[in-house]
Order: sequence, then structure tokens, then C-alpha cells
Amino acid sequence: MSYLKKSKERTVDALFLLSLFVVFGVISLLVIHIGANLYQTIATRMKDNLEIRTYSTYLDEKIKQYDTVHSVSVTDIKDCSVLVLTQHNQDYDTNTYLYGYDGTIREYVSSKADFTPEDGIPIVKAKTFHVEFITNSLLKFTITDTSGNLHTLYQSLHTSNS
Amino acid sequence: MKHSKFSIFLMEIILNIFLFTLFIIVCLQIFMKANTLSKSAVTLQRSVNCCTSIAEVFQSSSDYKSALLMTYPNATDLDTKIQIYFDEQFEECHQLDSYYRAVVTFSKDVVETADICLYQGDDTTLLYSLSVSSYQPLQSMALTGGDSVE
Repeated sequence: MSYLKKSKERTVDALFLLSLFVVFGVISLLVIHIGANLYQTIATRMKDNLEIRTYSTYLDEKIKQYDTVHSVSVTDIKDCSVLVLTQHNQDYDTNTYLYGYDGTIREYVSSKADFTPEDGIPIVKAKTFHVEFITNSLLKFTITDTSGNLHTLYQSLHTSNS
Repeated sequence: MKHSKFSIFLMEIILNIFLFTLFIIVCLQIFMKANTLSKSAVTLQRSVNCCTSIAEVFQSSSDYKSALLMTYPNATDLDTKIQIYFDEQFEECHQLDSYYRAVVTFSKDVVETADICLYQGDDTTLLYSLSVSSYQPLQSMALTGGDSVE
């Protein structure tokens, strides 16, 4: 009788121990899952933030650098919306083309009239890139980042293009 | 004796699980804090871009009010200030669909100045503020000793 009671007690203890391990395991997996998801969300958000910051600072810097009379223009070349920044030298002009191609915003510098979008240097990833003049002294950029968020940025010119 | 050993083992396991739970709570709190911080970082960056864009529009023309109303057609003109409405993606929208609200207050000292404040919804929670001045060049009359530009 005593042997049976002892055996039953041990079974209960073992079961309790086992259930504790199961709970321990389930909670561990749950925490890892939540942690991984949050880490992924935070990493994506940081990447988006970096892209947003790069779009605004890069475009701002480039335009301010070339903000002289008849140096900033917008054109469509080979289905690309292109911002053309021209540096007027004594004998020749150097054009810097900023455009979106193959999922990236690219920069292409050339002193010739030729323009091959695939040769540009990738600056930052972006699904779409569009630029237009709203007025003679105001540029509008519409950019879609890699997560699909649309960003509209405005940039004024101190020198009117008219 | 054997039973006592088992109890100690059980106690040890329970203590381990207690410490583990404590560790999980701390970890989850850190994760949540990181999540909140990254979310607010994105909102702040987009708020900065939004206010900077408004500032650029303000600086693009001497007739800044018309320029702002043309660029943001759903904005409300309140004489000395303009309210511009944005949705959750910081795209300009109608007042009824707005999630963020930018208040542009104009003032004139020596130069035209605009104070741009971005709020979340109808709250007074200020997300970002920016003060910008527009320097308009002197016109020929002022340069030749005539009337100065107002």
C-alpha cells in the first residue's frame, strides 16, 4: 500500500516537472519569436529611416551645390525622370544626371551629351523617383522607398530658371 | 532522504523558472522600448522632412502665401497663419482625413519669417517646429536710394 502511494507521488512529481519544462520551452520559443519579429520590424524601420534621410540630404546638398542661373533643369530621357545639374566651364559643360533606374536613385556625370541610365552610380535604393518643376524656383520630388512608402519633398532654388 | 533531495531539485527548477520569467519581462520591456524609439525616430525624421518642405515652399517665392496655397491646395488660410493637413503617410490631404497638422504662422520683423509647427491630429502634441526666414533681394529703387522694399 505504502509502495503504491509512493509510486503515485513520484508520478505526480515527474509530471509536474515535465509540465514545468514544457511551459519553460513554450515561453522560450514565444520570447524568441516576439524578439525576432520586433528585431526585424526595427531593422526595416531603421533602413527606411536611413533611406528617407539620404533622399532629403543628398538631393538638398546636390541642388544647393548647383544653384546657379540655368544650372538646374528637369527632363525625361529613356523613360527616366531626370534632374540635370550643369556646371558651366569655360569651354564645355559638365552634366550631373540624377534619376531613378532599376530600383535605385543613380548619379551619372558626363561632359558629353550622351546618357546611359545603366552606367550611373547607385546612391540609394528607391522603387520610384520622379522630379518636376512646380514653379520656376520650386522642385517637387516624389520618391517611393523600398517598403512602398511615398515621400514628397520640395526644394527651392535661389536662382530662378526662367 | 531521497524525497528531500527531489524537493530541493524541484525548488531549484522553480527558482530557475522564476528568474527566467524575470529575465523575459526585462527583455520584452527592452524590445518594446526599442520598438517605440524606432517608431518615434521615423516619425521625427518624416516630420523634419515635412517642415523642411514647407520651409522650402515658403522661401521659393516673395508671394509665399500664394505659393503655399498652390502647393498645398487643401490648406486653410487663417489670415496670419495657414494650416496644412497631412495623412498618416505625411501626404497632404483634406482636413477631415488628416492625422498630422502643420501650422505656419507668418510674422515680419526685418525679414519675412514663418514659424512652422507640426502637431499630431487635433492634439497640442508638438512633433517638430522650425523657424524660417525669407530674404528677398533689394529692388532697383532701393539700390538707387529710392523706396526700400517693405
